[in-house]
Amino acid sequence: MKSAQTTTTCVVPAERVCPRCGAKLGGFGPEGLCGPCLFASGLADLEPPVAPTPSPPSFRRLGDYELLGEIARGGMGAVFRARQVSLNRIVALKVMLGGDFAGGTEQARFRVEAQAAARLKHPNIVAIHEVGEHDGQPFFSMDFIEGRTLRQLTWDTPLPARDAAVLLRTVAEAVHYAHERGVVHRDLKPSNVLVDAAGQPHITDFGLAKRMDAESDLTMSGMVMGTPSYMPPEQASGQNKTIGPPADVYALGAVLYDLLTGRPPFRGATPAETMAQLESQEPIAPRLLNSGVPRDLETICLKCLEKAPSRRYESALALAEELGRFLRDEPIYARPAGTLEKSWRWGRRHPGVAAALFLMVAIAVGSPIVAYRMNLLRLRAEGNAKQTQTALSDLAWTLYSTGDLPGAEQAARGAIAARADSLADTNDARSLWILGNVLWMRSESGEAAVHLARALDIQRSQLGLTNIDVGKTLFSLANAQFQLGKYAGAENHYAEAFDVFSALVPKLHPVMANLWNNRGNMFSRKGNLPAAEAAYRQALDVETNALQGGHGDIAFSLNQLAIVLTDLGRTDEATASARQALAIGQGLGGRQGVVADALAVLGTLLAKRGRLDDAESNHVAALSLRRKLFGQENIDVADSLGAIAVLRALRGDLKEASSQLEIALAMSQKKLHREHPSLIPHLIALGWTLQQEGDALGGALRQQEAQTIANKHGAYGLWALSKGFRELADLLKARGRDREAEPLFGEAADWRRKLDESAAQQ
Amino acid sequence: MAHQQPHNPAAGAGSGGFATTQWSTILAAGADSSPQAQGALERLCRAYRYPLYVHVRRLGWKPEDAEDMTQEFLARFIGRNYLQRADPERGRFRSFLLTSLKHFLADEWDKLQTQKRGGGRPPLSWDDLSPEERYRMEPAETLTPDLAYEKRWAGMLLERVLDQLRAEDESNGSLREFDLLKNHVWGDGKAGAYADLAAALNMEANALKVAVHRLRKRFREQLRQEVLSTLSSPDELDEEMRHLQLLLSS
Repeated sequence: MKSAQTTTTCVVPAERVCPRCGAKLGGFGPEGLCGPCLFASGLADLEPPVAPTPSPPSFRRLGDYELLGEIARGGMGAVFRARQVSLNRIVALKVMLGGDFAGGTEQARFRVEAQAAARLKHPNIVAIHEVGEHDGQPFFSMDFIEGRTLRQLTWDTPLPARDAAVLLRTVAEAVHYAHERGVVHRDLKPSNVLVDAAGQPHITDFGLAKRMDAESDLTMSGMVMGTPSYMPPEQASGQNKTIGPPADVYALGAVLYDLLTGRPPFRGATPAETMAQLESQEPIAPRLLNSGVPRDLETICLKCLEKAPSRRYESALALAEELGRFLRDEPIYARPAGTLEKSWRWGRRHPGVAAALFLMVAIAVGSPIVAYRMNLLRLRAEGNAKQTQTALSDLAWTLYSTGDLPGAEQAARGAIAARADSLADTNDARSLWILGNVLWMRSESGEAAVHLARALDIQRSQLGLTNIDVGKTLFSLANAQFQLGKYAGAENHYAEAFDVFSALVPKLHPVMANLWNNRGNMFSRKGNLPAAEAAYRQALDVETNALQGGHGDIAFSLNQLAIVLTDLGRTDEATASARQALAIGQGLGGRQGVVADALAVLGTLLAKRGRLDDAESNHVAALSLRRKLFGQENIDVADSLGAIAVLRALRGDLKEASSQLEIALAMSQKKLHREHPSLIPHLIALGWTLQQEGDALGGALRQQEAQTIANKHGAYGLWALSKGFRELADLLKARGRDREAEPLFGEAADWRRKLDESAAQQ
Repeated sequence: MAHQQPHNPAAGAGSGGFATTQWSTILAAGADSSPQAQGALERLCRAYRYPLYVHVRRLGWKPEDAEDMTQEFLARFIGRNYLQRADPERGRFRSFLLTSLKHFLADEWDKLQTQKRGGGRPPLSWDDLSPEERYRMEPAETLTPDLAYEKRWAGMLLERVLDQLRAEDESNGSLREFDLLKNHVWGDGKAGAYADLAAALNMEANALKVAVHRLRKRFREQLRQEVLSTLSSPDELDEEMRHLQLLLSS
C-alpha cells in the first residue's frame, strides 16, 4: 500500500494498471497486485473468470481477426484485443455476443450509421476500421488504445478542476467534429472515453454502441439495460427519434460533473430511480459536493445539464470555447443558472431563504436578457409607460432568477418607480418581492420589510390567502423580521407561511423542512424547548425523506437540535447530534457553515463539562472557518469571539476577555440594530467580566442594557436573559466555582419565572 | 510440499466444515464468552482495526485522537458491550463493526473520556507501523469515511490471505516461487512471459502451469475461508465476495 501517487498536475498519474481488467494496481489492495482480479480468483468457479482465460472456442478466430485476449466484457458484448491478419496490425474488436442481430431495416440503418462513423478521422476519436458481421454476429474493429477509461481513472475521486476542464475541452472538440459530419454519439460516459499514457482522451464507440446495444439488449433480455446517469431527459424517456447534438452536450456536462465530483449528476439505486430523479430534480451544485470546484466551471457544467435542450450550449464547440475561456481565466459567457449556492450559504443561517430561492429557480423561465433590454429601449422610445413597467418587471425577474442581484434591484426599483402611485397588480407585487429579497440578502431588512409587507397586501387582495406566491412573500417577510430581531412578527408570518405551504405542497417537500426549521428557531428563542425539539425533528424527518443522505440541510437541523438539547440539559444527545452534523459537513468537504456551527455547539458542550482547553480549540476552529466563509465582520464571527472571550474570563484573563467581548458586541451592533435580542448574551457576559475585573458600575450598566433590550422583546427577551445567565452559571459550576455560580443561577431562575408567568397570562 | 489442505486459521472451523463461521460462533456465544469465541473475536478485531482507524481519520479527527478512539472502541467491542445490541447489520462483521464504531463515536466517546481509562483489559498494540504512518503513505483521498473504511477492509482482507500463503511458502522454502508467481497471476506480469518465468524458476513449462494452478487454488480456498469467517452464514459468501471485488474495482 505504498504506492505514492499524487494527483496534482498531470491528468494521468504514471501508475501501473492491471493488464487483465484495467484497474489500478495496488490502490487499496496489496501492493503491485490487482484487487479485483484477486477477488475474481475467489469467485472463479462460479462466474466467468475475469483473469486471462481462453476465449470461447467460436471466437478464437473471427473472419480476418485473430483474438488475442479479452479486454472488457459487458452484458451484451465483449471487446477483444485482436490481430487483423491481412494487415498484421493489432486492433480492438467489439463483438456482440449471443443471438441474431436485428432484421433488414434495422441492420441497414446500422450500416449507414456505422459507415458514417467509420469516416470520422480525428486524433481524439478512436478510429473505426471495419464494420462487419460474421456468422450473424455483428462486430466492428477499431484502433487499439493502451490506456484506461475515465471511469477507471476517477471512480469516486474527483480530478483537479483544471485537469478536468482541459480533458473535457478536448473531448468536446472531438464531439463537435463528429457533429459537423452528422454523427451523434448518444452514449458518452466516462467508460466510453479512454485516456492514453500521454493523458490524451479518445472517445470510443462513436455513433455505434448505442444502436447495437439497444438492439441486442432487446433481443437478449427484453429490457433496456444500463443506467441513464449520463443521458439527458429527452433520451432517457425514450424519445430516441429526437436525439441530436444537444444530447451529447448534456452528456459532456454529465461527464464533467462526474470528473469534478466523483459521481454522476443523478444516481439512483435502480435505473428507474435514476430516471425519476433526472426528470424531477435539479442536479446538486458541484461546489456543494466538492468545494474546490471553481464557480465558473460549475456554471458551465450546470448549463450543459439544463433539462431543456435549448438552454444548453448550442453546440459542443460552444462548450469547448467556453472551457477555453475558463482555462485562460477570461470571463465566461454563461450566467450562473440560479442562486442555489447563495441560498445554500444564507440557508445556513436562515433556512427560510433556501425555500424561497429554490422555488424561484425552479419556476424561472429565462428568456434571453438581451431581448428584454432591447425591447425595453424600444418601449421607452415609444413612450409607452405601462409596457415599460411590465418589461422592467420581467427583466427584474429574469435577472433575479439568474442570480444578478444588483441588476435585479435596479430593474425592480425602476418598475416600482414607474407606477409609484398605483401599485396594484401582481407584476408590481413581484417587483416588490424581488426588491425585498435582494435587500434582505444585503442585511437591509428594515427597507426590505416595508416592500414585502406591501407586496403581501397586493397579493392577498389579488390572489387570495392560499396561494404559493402569498406563501413565498410571507416567508420572505418573516425572514426580514427575523433578521431585524422582530421575533414576534417573524413567528406569526412563519406560521402563516407554514399554513399556506402545508395546504399546497406535499408533507415531505423540502420546503416543508425549512418551514419546520424556522418554527423550531422561533420556539427555541422563546424557551419553548419541547416544541422546538419537536419542530427540528419534523424537519429532520422531511429532510431524511426528501434529500440525499449527507445533505447539508440535515446537518443544519441537527445543529439546531443540538442547541435545544443542550438547553434541555440532555448533553449526551446534544453531543451525538452535533457530531452527526459535523460528520455530514466534513463529508461535504469541511468548508461549510454547518461545520463551524457544529464545532461551536461542541465547544459549548465541552465547556459545560469544564474542559476549557478543548472547548476553546473548538471555538477557535469555528471562528477561523467562519472568517473564511463570511469575512472578518459577521454576527457568527462575533458569536465565536464572544464564546472564546468567556472561556478566557473563566481562566482569569479578564482584561483580554473584556476587550474581546467589547469587540464582539460592537461587531454585532454594527451588523444588527442596537436593540436586537442577539446582543443580550454578549452584554451579560461583558457585564459579568467587568464586575470580575472590579468595575462594578460598568458591569451593572451592561447588564441593565441587556434588560432594556430584553424588555422590548417579550418572551424572547426574557428567555435570552435567562439563558445568558444560566450559561455563565453552568460554566462556573463545571469548574467547581459553585459559590460564584449561585447568584447567576438565581438570576436565570428569576427570568425564567417571569417568562413562565407571562406565558401563563397569555 | 503440495498444499492439498488449506491452512486454516479459523478456530473450530474444520476443513470443509463451512457450517459455522468465526463470526457466527461469536454471535452465538453472545454475552457468555467461551475462550474460543473470545479468541476469535480478538483475532478478527486485530485484523481489521486499520480500516476503523482510517474511518475515524476521514471523519476529521487528529491522529492521536483517532488512535485513542480506535483503541478504546476495540477494547469496548471485545469487552462485548456491543454484541448484545440487537441489530439487523449483525449478519456481516464488516458492517456490524462499522455500525458499532459509529454508535461508539456518537454516544460513548465523550462519556468514556470522563471516566478513568485503562481499567480491565490492556489495549491491543499496533503490530508494526503506527496506523498514522501507514495512513500517510497512502494516496491522499477524497473518499467518504464509509467508503474509505470499506476499501481498506477489502484491501486488508487480501493482504491477510496473501500473508498467510506467503508464510506457508516461506516456511517450506519456496518464497521466491511464491513472489514471482503471485506477480505473474495477479500483478502486471506480461502475458507471454511464461517462458521467462519458467526459466527464472528453473521449471518446465508444464510444471509452471501446475504451480500456477496450485497457487490459484490455494488462494481461492484461503480467501473464501477468510471472507467466510466474517459472515454469519455461508449463503452470503458469494455476494460478499462480489461486493468486495466491486469496492476495489473502482
